[in-house]
Amino acid sequence: MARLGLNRGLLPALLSLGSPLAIAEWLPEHHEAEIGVATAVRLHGDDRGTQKAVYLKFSLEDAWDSGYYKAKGRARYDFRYDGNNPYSDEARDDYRATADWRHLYWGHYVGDGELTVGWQQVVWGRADELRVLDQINPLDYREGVIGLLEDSRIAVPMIRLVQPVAEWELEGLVITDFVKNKAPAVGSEFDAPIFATPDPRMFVVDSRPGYDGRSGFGYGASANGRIGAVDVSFVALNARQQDPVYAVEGLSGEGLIRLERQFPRYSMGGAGVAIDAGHSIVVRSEVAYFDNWRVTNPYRAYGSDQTAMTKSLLGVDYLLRDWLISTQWQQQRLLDWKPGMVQDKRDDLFTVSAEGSQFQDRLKTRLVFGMSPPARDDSFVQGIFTYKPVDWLKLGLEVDVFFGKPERQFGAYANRDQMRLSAGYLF
Amino acid sequence: MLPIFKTLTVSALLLSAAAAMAAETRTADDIVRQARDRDDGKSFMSQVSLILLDKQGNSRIREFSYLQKDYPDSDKFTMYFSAPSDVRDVAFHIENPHEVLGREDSQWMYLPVSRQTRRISTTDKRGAFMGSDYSYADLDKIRAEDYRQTLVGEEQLLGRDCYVIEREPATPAVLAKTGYNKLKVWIDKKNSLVLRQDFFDVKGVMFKQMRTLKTETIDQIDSITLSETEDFIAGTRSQLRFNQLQYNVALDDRLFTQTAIKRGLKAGDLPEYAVSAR
Repeated sequence: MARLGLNRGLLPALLSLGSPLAIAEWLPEHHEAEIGVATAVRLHGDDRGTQKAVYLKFSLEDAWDSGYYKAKGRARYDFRYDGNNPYSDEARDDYRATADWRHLYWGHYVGDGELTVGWQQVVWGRADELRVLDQINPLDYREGVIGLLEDSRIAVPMIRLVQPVAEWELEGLVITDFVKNKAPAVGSEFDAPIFATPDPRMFVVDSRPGYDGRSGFGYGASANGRIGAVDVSFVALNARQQDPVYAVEGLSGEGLIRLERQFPRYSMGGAGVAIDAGHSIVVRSEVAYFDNWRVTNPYRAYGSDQTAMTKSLLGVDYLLRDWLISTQWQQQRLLDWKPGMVQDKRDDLFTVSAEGSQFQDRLKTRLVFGMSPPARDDSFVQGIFTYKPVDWLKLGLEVDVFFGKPERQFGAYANRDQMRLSAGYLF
Repeated sequence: MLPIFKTLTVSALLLSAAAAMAAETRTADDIVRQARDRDDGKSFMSQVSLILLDKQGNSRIREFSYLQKDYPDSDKFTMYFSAPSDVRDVAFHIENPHEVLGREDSQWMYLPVSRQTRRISTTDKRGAFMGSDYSYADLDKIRAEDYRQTLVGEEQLLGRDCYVIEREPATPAVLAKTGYNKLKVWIDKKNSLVLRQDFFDVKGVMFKQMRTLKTETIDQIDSITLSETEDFIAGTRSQLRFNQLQYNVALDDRLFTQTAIKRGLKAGDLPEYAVSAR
């Protein structure tokens, strides 16, 4: 009976907790959520469905006199990876259910500045969906290589201090744990040669050093401000490479080449500028120098190759009424390139994008063309449309079309052009 | 009549007509300058509702904090959006140099989705401000030298005596920047508030109208607290409602930098709003 009595008391209590009034009392100052369905289909070939998912996104924020917290997360269950499907077991496990924090951190005001602690995304630079100075957060490539960075960045645990000084903002941060880029699972829809791991017929990866705790940390600093009419940024970072480097360790007993998968430490310094050139044009540029950059070279007798690397970007933004049209040229160069390195000596990437909104901001459009020359070998076209007929409904359409050779980053998906559809209820 | 006298009479008439025209032109310029230079405090802040109304009259409301402060060489504005969720934390910072300096504005926008502050060129101000029927040009402080203006009459509007002035772009650059081939403006004679503005395209068709729906005197300053703009082509309307408008408030300089908009507003950044919420 005592148990029953407890249940009798507990039930109304739980019911009252679940009532809208009680939930409202528990909710923070700002809360929002989106629940929806998403599907994706290949534009050609058999068995075209690649996603049949339900998803939840939410954001919670509260503030008080001395600080605040922000939490933003998402979760998805993809029924395409249940039952019969053409994907590998590894892909099924990886894609069936996914969840992550977009950010989860606490902030404390320190004078005019603030100290933030937790899983954060920090974006350096002003590039449009390209990464020159923006090196802090690793990326999740499990939805391909042309997903929006806002959806692909992985939050990393860090302590960050930001302090405004007149027209400038100074920032220092310590990344407390190493997080690497997430590659698509082998045998998944987005698996591609650029994510290939060493061929087990020739190599054996028998050593994986840990990067926990002190060995995984990173640290960086930035200064953003103005010199005259020019916006200026300076950044410096010491962290681990986010993609694996395979260092040769000798031969195994079976005559295979023994490799160690490493995420070597590097240092990076960079600067960026932006200036209003008039005639509706803003010119942007960023340059970064990477020291002690490591590159896999399977022809080495031992270890991996070390080189300096530069990344540079020139961008021009043109504002035409409600459209912002951006053209960008990014170049990456290995300054001490050697034969056998698995990274090209020089890698160029051009993008042209147009982003705008119509119908009182109900429709937002983003159109992109990107290519790594020559365009016929490696290019893509992307259209992203988001339509909100009313405040509580969001409809999404994305079309990704690829061209090129199978071994190139965009060309690899030439037979996997996709259309994605989604409908979300906002509350 | 002697020929010389006749010539002198004609000359005198011509001169007086020219003088009258010059006086009229000067008067229109003076009225516009007076509207530009009217007292709007050294600073102000307001909670603003931007109401978007579609053809069917359905409304969507966007809320933002609007801060402005005068500096020796410019007026600086910062806007922080707080609702709804799709614009939450979007922020703008605009530096508007005084017209006599002849320099263009500087403008930055922070978009929380990209977590970046981007500089925006201000040469083209025809774009819609946050999807509304107000263009970025409409939100600019009135500029006297960008237009040739003529006083075309006097009318009563909202029970107020107004000057009616027609304005035409002084240069092709101004036309390219605003997209307006002609403006017709009603300016309150007493307090120099713009009570109505009609916008004409290159064909001379009035395609948009901005009208003041409510004025109030706050801190001894006559202020527009509700304004509406109607786009006759699209059939849409937008309203700007200035709630809790306060003048000459102590606003910290650190709120008026392009780096501030990324940090957003935090507790204690603003003085308490007056209790007299409208």
